[in-house]
Amino acid sequence: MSTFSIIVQGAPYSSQAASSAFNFSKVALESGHQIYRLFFYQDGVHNASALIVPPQDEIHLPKNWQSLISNFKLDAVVCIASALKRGIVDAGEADRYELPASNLLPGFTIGGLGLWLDATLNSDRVLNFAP
Amino acid sequence: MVSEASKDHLLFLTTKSPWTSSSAASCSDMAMTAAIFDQSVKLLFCSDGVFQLLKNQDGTSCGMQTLAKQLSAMDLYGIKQVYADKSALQERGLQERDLLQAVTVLSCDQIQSLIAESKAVLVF
Amino acid sequence: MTLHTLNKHRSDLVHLCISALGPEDSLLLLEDGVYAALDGTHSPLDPATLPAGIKLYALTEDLAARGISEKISDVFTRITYRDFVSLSLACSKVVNWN
Repeated sequence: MSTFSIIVQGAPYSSQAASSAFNFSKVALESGHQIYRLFFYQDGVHNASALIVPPQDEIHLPKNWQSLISNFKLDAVVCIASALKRGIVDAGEADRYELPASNLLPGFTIGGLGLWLDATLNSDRVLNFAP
Repeated sequence: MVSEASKDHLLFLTTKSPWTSSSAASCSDMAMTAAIFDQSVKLLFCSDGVFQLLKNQDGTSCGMQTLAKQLSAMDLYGIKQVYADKSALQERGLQERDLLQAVTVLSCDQIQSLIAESKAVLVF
Repeated sequence: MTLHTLNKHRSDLVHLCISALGPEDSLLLLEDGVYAALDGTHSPLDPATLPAGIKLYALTEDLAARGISEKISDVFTRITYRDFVSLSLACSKVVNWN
C-alpha cells in the first residue's frame, strides 16, 4: 500500500484535467492505496462549488468528488487564495468578507498552500492534473 | 547514478508566458511557499516560460498583475537556484542581459540530470 | 527512473517532454497526448531517436474516447488507469507535462 497526493488544477466541464484526476484517485483507492490529500488549486477550486448544476445526462463531478471524499474519509483541501479569487467560500470566509452567501460543498475544507507542501513531503507520489 | 540521499530539492518547471494564464503565477506561488517553509527549491524556465524573466514588464496598461515584480523578489524568499533552458532563450532571440536576474543556462542533458536529481518535479 | 505523462498534443510541449526523457524513463500519453501515438504520422516519439530503454505507453480510456484505439503505433503499450497507478509507483517519481 502506498500514499498518493493529488493536485487538481482544472475546473469541471472546462477541460479533462478534473475528470482524469478523479479517475486516477478512484482507481488508486479501489486498488487499496491511500490518498493523503486532494489539493484543489487554481481553477480546480470550482470542483468544490455547491452551486454547480450539470445537465441530467452529464456526470456530476463535484458530487462524485463528494462521495469519494466521504466513502474514503479523504482530506480534500481547496486553496484559499485560489478559492477567494474565484468566488468559492465557506461560511467562515463569507462571514469575514461580509459576503451574501457561502458555497463550499460539504466534505471540502479551505486551507493554505502550506497544506500542499505538507502533502508533497508526506506522500510517496504526487500527481498534478492540470488543464 | 544519483543516490536517494542527494535528492533533496523540489524542482518547479514553468513553460508558459506569464500573460497567457495563471499557470506561471501559480508556479511562482508554490515555489515561494516551499522556499518559505525552508525547502531547497530550484526553478527552471523552459519554452515560453522564459518570457516570465524579461525586464521592463508592466501589466498596468492592460489591467493585469505583473508577475515579473514577484519574480524579482525570488532571492529574498530564498530561491537562489534559478535556471533557464538554453534552447528556449536561443529560439526566442533572448540574451542574458534581457533578463531581470542572473540565471544558470542549461542544456538538454543538464535538464535531464536536474529532473533525475529532484525529490519531486512540478510542471506548470 | 521517472514516469513522464503528457496530456497535450502541442508540438512545443511534445518536444520539451521528449528532450527531458532520460535513459530507462517511461512516458505515458493521456488525454489529448494520446494523439501523439497515431500510426503513420511523423511523430517525434520514435524509439530509434529516443534515449535507450524508454518505455512508451498510452492510456486505454483516452484512446477509446477519441476513437483511435486501433490506430496507434505498435511501439506504444496500451494501459488502463489501474496500470497507470501501478506504473506511477514502479517509477521513482512522476512528472506531469501539461
